[in-house]
Amino acid sequence: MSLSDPLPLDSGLDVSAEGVDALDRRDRAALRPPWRQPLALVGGVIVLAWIVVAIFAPELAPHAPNDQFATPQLPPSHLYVFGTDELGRDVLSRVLYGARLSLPLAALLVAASMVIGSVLGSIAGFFGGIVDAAIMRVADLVFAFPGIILALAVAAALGAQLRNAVLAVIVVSWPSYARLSRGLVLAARSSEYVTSAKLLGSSGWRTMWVELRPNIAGPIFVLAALDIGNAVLLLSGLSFLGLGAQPPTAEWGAMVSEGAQNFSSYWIGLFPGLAILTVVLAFNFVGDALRDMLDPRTARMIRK
Amino acid sequence: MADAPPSSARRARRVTPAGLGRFLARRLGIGLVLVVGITLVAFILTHLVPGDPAAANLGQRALGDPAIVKAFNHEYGLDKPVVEQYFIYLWKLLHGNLGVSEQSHRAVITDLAQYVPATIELALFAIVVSIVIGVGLGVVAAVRRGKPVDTGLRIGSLLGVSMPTFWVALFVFYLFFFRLGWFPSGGRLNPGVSAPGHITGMYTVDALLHGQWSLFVDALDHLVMPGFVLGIFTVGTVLRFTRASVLEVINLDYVRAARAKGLSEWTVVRRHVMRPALLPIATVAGLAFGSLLSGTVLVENIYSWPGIGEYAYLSAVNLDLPAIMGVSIVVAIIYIVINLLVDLLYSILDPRIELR
Repeated sequence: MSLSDPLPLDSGLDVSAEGVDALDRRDRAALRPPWRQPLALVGGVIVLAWIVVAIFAPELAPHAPNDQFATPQLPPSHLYVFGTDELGRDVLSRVLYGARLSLPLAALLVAASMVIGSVLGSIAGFFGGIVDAAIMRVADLVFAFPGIILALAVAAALGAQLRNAVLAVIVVSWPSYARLSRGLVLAARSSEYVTSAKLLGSSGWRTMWVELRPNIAGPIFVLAALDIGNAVLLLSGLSFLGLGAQPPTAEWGAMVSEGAQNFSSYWIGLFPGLAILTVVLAFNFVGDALRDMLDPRTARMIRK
Repeated sequence: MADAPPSSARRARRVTPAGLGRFLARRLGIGLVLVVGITLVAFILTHLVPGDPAAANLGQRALGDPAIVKAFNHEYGLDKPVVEQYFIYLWKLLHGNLGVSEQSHRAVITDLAQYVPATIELALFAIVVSIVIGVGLGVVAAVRRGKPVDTGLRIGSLLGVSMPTFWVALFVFYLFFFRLGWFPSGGRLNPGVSAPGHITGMYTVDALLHGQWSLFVDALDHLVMPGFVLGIFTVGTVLRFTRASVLEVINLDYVRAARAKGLSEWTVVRRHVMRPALLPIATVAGLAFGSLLSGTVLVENIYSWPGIGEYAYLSAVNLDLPAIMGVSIVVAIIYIVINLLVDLLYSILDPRIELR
C-alpha cells in the first residue's frame, strides 16, 4: 500500500518487506494450528463458557436480574457471591444475564458490519472507477473520526437506546471490512482463475460470488474475530455513557456505570467490568492466533 | 552513516521540494474534501434529530407567541430550504463561525479553543507514556522472541487492548484517589487555583513558561492519573508494532555481520537494529493518537477533565447540535493533519519512501 492513500491509518509498512526472513526457528511455534496453541485454546474455552452462560443464564443465575429483594450494597459473601447492588439486586445474576445481551449483540454487530463492509469493499475493488472512489471516500470519511465520537453523535442523534447504539457501532465498524476486502479483491482480480471465469462468460457478480468470495473469506473472518472484542468494548462504552442500554437492563457497561455512582461498594462495578474483560480477551486470543495463520502479507493488512 | 540499512533493490529517492509541494497540495486537497464531507455528514446527522430548535432555545412564553418563533426561525435561517441552510452553515464556517453552543451560550469556537488544548495536553502525556513503555517492551519481546518473556508480553499486550477503558479508569480512580489519596479526584487544577496566563492553553506548559513552579506541579499532579490511564491503552499497540518491526531487521545480513564480529546481542540491537526498526514509530504515534482521541471521551468523563472528549459527550447527550458539529469538524481536522504529519515525518526518516 502506498503513501498516496488519503488516510493510510492501516497502510502496511512495506518499507522493509524485502527483509522478511525473520521467520527463524523460534517463530515457527506461531505457525501451529490454533487448536494447538495454548492461548487460542484458553480463549476458545472462555468464549464457549460465556456462550453456555448466555444460553443457560436463567438456570445458572441464583436470582432474577431485576429482582430487588436483598439488602442493598452487601459485600460479596457466600450468600451473594458478587454482592448486591444499590437497589438490592444480586450482582452475580445480573452479570450472568448480561451475557445474554452482550454476546448476541456483538455477534450481530460484527456480522452486520462484516457483510456490509465486505460487500461494499468487494464491489469497490472489483468494479473500480467511480463506484470505487465513491465507496472508499465514504469509508475514509468514517475513518476520519475517532470511532467513539462518531458513534456518540450517531447514538445521541437517534436517541439513547440500545438499538441505536448498535446501529452507531455498525456505522463506525464497516469501513475496516471494506478496506480489507477491497485490497483482497484488487490482489485477486488479476489472478488466472478470475480471468478464466471471465473468459468462460461469467458475469461480474457471478465471478465475485463464485470465484472471489471463497478466496477472500479467510482474512475477513479473521478480522471479524478480532473485531468482536472491539464491538463489545464500544457498545459497553456507549452504555457506560448512558447512550446504550437503559436501566434497569442488566448490561455490563451500564452496570459499571452504576458502580461508578456507588464508589464505596466496589463490587457493583468490578464484576461486570471483569466480564467484559474476559470476553474481549478471549476473542482477542482466538483472533490473534487466527491472524498468525495467514500469510504475513495478508496479516499485515489486518491491523489492530 | 555507519548504521545505514542495507542497500535496497529500490532506487533511493530524495524528497525534492517540487515533489514535496505536489504531495502537500494533493494531500491538503483530499483533506479539504474530507472536511467538507464531514460537515455534510454532521449536518445530515443533526437534521435527523427530531427536535425543534425553537422549542429548545425559547422560553415558554416566547414559544406561545408565533411572531417570536417566526423571528427566531428567520434569524437562524431555519425557515429556508435545507440545502440552503447547509450552504449558509458552510459560509459561516469559512468565517470561523461555528454557531453558538446551546449549553454554554458561548460561541462554539470559543469553547473549542478552551477545550482542545486540554485534550492535546492529556494526549501528548499519554503518547509519551505509551511510546516509552511500548517501545522498550517491544524491543525486549523481539530480542527474546519465543521465550517466556515474549509470551508474557504478548498476553500483556492483548490484555491491554482488551480492557474496557472506563472500567480501568474507574479502578485507578478508586485505588489512587479514593483509597490511597495520592492524586486529586479530577479537573485540571486544585479548586481556587487560577490558570496560568494563556499561551498554549496547556496548563503545565504555560506554568513553566511563566516560571510558576507550584502551579506546574499542581497541573502535573492532575495530569498524571488520566494521562497514564489513557496511555496504557496504546502500549499494547505500540509494543506489537515495535516487536514486528524489530523482527524484520534483526536477521538481515548486516545485523548478522555485526553479530558475527562478536558484539553482544544487546549492542547489536542498540547500534544496528534500533534505527531502522524505530522508523515505524512515527506511524505508531499517528495510529496511537487516533485511538487516544477515542479513549479520551471515556477518560475525560471519569476524571472530569474539561477537554474535547467531555465536550463531545456533553453536547451529544444534550443534543447541542452546533457543538456536536463543531467537535466533529475540529476532531476530523486534527486527525487529518496528524496523518499528514506522520507521512511527512516518515519520508524524512526513510528517504526510500516515495511521496505521492
